[in-house]
Amino acid sequence: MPSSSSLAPFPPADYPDLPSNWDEMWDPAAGVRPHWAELVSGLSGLGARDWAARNQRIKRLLRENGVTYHVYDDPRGYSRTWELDPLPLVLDAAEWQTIEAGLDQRARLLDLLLRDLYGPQQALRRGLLPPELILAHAGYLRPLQGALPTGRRQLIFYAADLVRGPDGRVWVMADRTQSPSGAGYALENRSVMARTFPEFLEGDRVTRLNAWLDAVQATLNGLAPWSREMPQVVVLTPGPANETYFEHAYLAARLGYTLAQGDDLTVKDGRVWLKTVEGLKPVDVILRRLDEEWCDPLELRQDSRLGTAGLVEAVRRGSVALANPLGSGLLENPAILPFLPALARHLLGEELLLPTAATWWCGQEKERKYVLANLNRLVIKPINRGLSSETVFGGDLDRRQLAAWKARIQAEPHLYVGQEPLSLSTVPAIQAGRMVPHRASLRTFAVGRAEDEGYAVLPGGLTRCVAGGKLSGQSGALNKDTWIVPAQASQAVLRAPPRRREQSLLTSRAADNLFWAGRYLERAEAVARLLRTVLDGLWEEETAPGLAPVLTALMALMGYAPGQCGCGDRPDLAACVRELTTLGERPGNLAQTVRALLGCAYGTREYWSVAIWRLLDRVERDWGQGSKRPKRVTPSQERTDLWLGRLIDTLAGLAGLASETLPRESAFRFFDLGRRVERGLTQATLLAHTLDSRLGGEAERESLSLVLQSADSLVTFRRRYRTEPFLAGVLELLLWDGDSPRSLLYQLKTARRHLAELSHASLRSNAERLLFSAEDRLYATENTITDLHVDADERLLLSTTLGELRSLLAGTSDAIGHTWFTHVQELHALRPLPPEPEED
Amino acid sequence: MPIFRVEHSSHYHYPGEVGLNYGEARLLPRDTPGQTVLDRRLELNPRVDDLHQRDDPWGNRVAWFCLRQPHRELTVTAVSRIARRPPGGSPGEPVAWESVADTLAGPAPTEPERQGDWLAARECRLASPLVPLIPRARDYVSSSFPPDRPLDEALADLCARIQADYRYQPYATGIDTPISEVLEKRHGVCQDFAHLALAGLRGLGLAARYVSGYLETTPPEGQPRLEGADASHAWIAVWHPDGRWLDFDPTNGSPTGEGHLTLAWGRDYADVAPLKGVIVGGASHRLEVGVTVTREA
Repeated sequence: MPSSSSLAPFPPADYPDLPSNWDEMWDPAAGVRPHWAELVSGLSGLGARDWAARNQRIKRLLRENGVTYHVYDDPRGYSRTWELDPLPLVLDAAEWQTIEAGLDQRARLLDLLLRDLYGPQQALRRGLLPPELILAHAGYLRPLQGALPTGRRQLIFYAADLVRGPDGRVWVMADRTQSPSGAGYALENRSVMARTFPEFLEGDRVTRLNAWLDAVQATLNGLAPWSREMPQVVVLTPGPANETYFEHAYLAARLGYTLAQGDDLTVKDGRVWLKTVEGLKPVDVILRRLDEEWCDPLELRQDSRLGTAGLVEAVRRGSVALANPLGSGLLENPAILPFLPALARHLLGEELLLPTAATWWCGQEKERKYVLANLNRLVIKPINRGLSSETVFGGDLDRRQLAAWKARIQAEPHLYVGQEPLSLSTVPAIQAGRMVPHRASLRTFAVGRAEDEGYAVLPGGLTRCVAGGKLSGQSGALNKDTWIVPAQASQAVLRAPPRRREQSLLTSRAADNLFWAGRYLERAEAVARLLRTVLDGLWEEETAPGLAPVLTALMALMGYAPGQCGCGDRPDLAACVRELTTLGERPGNLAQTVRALLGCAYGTREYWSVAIWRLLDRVERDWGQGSKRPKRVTPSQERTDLWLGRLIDTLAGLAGLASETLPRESAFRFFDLGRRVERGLTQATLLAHTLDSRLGGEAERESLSLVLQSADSLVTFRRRYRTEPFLAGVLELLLWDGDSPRSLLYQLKTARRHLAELSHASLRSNAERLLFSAEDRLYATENTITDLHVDADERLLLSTTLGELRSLLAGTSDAIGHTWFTHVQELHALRPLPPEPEED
Repeated sequence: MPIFRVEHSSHYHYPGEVGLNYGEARLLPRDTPGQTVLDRRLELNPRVDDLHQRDDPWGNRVAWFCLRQPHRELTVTAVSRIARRPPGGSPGEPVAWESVADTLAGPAPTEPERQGDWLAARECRLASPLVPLIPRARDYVSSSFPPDRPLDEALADLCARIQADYRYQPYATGIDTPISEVLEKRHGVCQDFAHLALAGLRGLGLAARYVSGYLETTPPEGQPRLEGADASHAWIAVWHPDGRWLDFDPTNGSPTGEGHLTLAWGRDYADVAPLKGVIVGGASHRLEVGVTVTREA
C-alpha cells in the first residue's frame, strides 16, 4: 500500500530505463527532466505519513464529490469511482505552446472542413477527399446537409488524444469532434489535486485551468441565434445511466445551465422549449452530450427514446444552436487523416503543425495493397465508430484471424484504415505503493471562440495511463492531472466576461425526481424504523400480540395484503416477519425503496451538496448491488439491527442536510412536498391499523409504545404526558398537534404552504384544493375524543377518516404530477378542476 | 403533352388519443427532365400547428409538420397536376456499360455545373441502408451484362429477366424485407425488385438510384375505373455519362413510359418514404392509403 512508505528517494532506484522509450520524467542520460525538478524535490521531502495521508485525501475527495464513471451493465452498480493517480503528468510550458498552436490549427481546419461537407462540398467536388470516404460514413447525417448556419464557426468543442513517440515528438492519435468528453473530469482532477498538494499548485507555479470555463461560457452564450442578454443554454444528457453523466451534471452546475434530457425538451413553432415547472421556456443553445444519431427520432435514429422529435427541423430553421452541431461526428473518421496535410494547405494555406500517425485508407487501391501486405504489424480501424469491431492490433492476430481480417477488408475496403502503431511514452504512476512507468496518452480540449480569435485550449488535460501493454479500451486506465510549468497567463482569460451565477430553471423531470426522492427517502426511513421496531419486539417474545398492528401497517406500506406476505395459508407471525425483513430486493420492500431513492438522487445530482453525496455514497455502498448486507435474516440477528440502524441514521442525516442545503426555491419545495406527502401517508396507515386492532389493555399499551417508537416520538410523548402510552394521547400527538413535526396535521399544513408558493399567484392548484379538504377532514375529528377513553364508535369514525385522508394524499400526489411533471398536453390543456368538496 | 392528376391520401386511425404528432411527407412530386409539375398541394386534417416545406439534398420536396392538439385520426392528402413530356429524342451513341463504370470511378469533371450530378452518382454507387451489396444480387444481375454490351440494352434485358423470374405478390413482403429473402423466394413487390436491381447494378460499379412515383393503370375492359385503386410505384434510374439517368421499371420489365409519374428519388426506399412520423400518446395505428391517377388531357 502507498501508506507503507514515503516516495523518497524520488525517483526510486528501481525505476527502470526501458529500451527505446521516452520517459516523461526520467532522462537516462541526464536524470530528472528540468520541468519535473520542482515536483520531484518537493515530493521527495514528504514523509511517509504525510504521503499516505495525501493519498487517502485524494480518494476521499473523489468519493465525496461523487466523481464517478459509469460502465454500462457493471455488476458493481451505477457508479464507479474515478481513480486519480497522485502524480501528475508535467509538461514544459515552451513545448506546450507549440502543442497549443498545433491544436488550434487542427481545430480551425476541421471546422472549415465540417462547414464545407455539410455545405457546398467543395472538398468532394474538387477531389481533395474521395467522396466515398464521406458518403459511406455513418457519421454523415444526410438530414443535416445544408442545414448548418453558414458563415460562422460550427466545430465548437474539439478534443485530441496525444501521445509521444520514442524520439520525443508529440503525435495526434485521434481527433474527437462528435461530443468530446473528459474536460469536466480534467477540471475536477485539478481541483482535487489543488486541495491535496496546495504547496505545488498555489500561486503561479502551474498554469491555471479556471479561465477555460469562462471561455466555454462566453462561447456558448454567443451562439444564441438571437442576441439576448441571458440566452437560455441547456446541457443535453442521455441521463444518469450514461458513462459520463457525472461530467454532464458537473458542467451544468459549474456553468449555471439547466441539465436536460431529450424528454425535457419539445419542439413547437419551430423552436426548442424546455419543460419547466413554470411552463415552457425557449432554449437558445444546447450543449449536446447526447450522441448525435439519437437526438431526433423523426429524422435520425427512429428507435431513439433519448431524443427530441423535431430537433433537426429546429436546427434547419436556425432557431437553436447546438454545440457540437449534429453531424460533427463525421470528422472522427480516421480515413480523413492521410488527407489532412493537403487539406490544410488548400483550406488554410498552412502546413500541418502536429503530425498524425501514418494512416492508409483501404478505399484506395495502392493503399489497400499496402495495408493487406503489412496487416500483421499495423493497427486496423473501422472508419465508423460503434461497429462491432473495435481497434485491432495486427500483431495480436494469428494466421487464421489475419486471413479473416483480410477477407473483411477486401469485401468492403472503404470501411477500413490501416495505421502505423504509435509507441507511447511512459510516465511514473503509483501501483501498489510503488512508482512504476505507465504508458500514457493525453486528451486535450479546445473551445472555439469568435472566428478571428481561434480556439481556446485548456492548458493541461486528461492524462490516462496503464501499466504496460497498450492503451486501447478505457477499462483499467488510471487518470492523472496534467501540469504545464512554469505557469502561463491563459489567453482565454483576456476576453471572457465576468461569469454571472445564473439561476437555472427547474425542469419538470428534475422536479419529479426531487419529489420522488423525498417520498422514497421518507418511505425508506419509515419502513426501516418499523422493521427495527418489529425486530426489537420479537426479541422479547411476550410482546408479540402488541406487535400485530405495527406488522400489518408495515405490510400495508410495502404493498402486501394481509396474508399475502408469502408465509402460506397459516398466518404465522414469525414466518411473516422473516419474509418482510428479507433485505434482498423484492417489489415494494426496503431494499427496493432504497434503490429507487438512489435512482432519483442520481437523476438530480446537480442539486445535491458534497455532504449529501457522502451520505448517498454510504447508502450506495451498503445497499447497492454487490454490497455485503445480509440477504436473509432471522429476527434475532444483531447484524440486521446494525444495518437498519445505520440506514436510519444515514437517511435522517440526508433529510436534515437536504433541508439545510437545498436553496429555498422550487427545488427544495418539491423535495419537501414528497417527504410530507409520504409521511402523511405513513402516519395515517400506522394509526389506522392501531385503531383497527382494538387490542386494549397491556397489549395496546405495548402496541402504542411501538407506534411511538417507530415514529421516533416516544421521548416526546413521555416528556409531555409523563405516563405510559395511551391511545387518546398518542392520537393527539401524532394527528392533531400542529407543532409536532411528526403529526399528520403538520404534514398537511407544510405541504399546503409549499403548494401555495409554487402555484401561480391567482391560480390555486388542484393539489392545494385536495390538501385543504384533507385538513378540513382532520380538523372535523379533532373533538371526537372527549375523554381519555376512546370507544368503539370513535375508533371506527377515526379509522374511516384516516382512510379518506390517505386517498386525499394519494390524490394530491397525482395532482402534483399532473400539474408540474407531465407536459404531454401542455399547460393550457390541463384537466378540468375536480368539484369542490361537498360539505360546506 | 398529357396532363395527369394525382391524388394520394393517407388516413391514420389511432386507438388512443395522440397528444403530439411530428411527421415528414415526401408526397409532392418534383420536376424532372420528363415532367413539369403544374401545381401541387398538401392538405392535412385536422389542421396542423406547424407546416414547413423544403427541398432535400436530392431535390425532393419535403413537408415537415407538427400537430400539438389531441387527435384520434389524421389524414394527409397530396393533390398534384403533372404535365408529362413523351419520352423520345435521340437515344445518343450506345455506350458499353464497363466504360460507364470506368468514367464514374474516375476523377470529378472539371466543369463545376456537372460536379453535383457526378457527386450524386458516386453516392448511388455505394451500399445504402436497404441495399447492401450482396454478391448474389451482383451475380444475378451480371448475366445481363456481358462485356461491351451497351448500357441501355443491358438494362432492358435485366428488367425483362426480373419480370420473368420473379412473381409480383403484394403483402408477401414488407418495407424492410432483405434482398436476400427476395432472391430466395422469387417474389415481392415493385420496391423489392427495385432494391434487388440496385444492389446488383451497384455491385457492378454502376450508379443506380431508387425512384418513387405512380403508374397510370388502365381499368379492365368494360369496367369503370375505381377511385383509389392505384398505388404508389417504384422503379430505378441508372446514371449515363451524357448526364441523363435512364429510367427502367423492373416490375414491368421495360423502360418507363408516359404513364410513369415521378414523385421523388434517393438511394433506396428509406430516403423517399412518403410519410414518416413520431407520435406521443398513441401506441399503434391503422393506415389506409388511396391513390388515384387520372388523365386530364
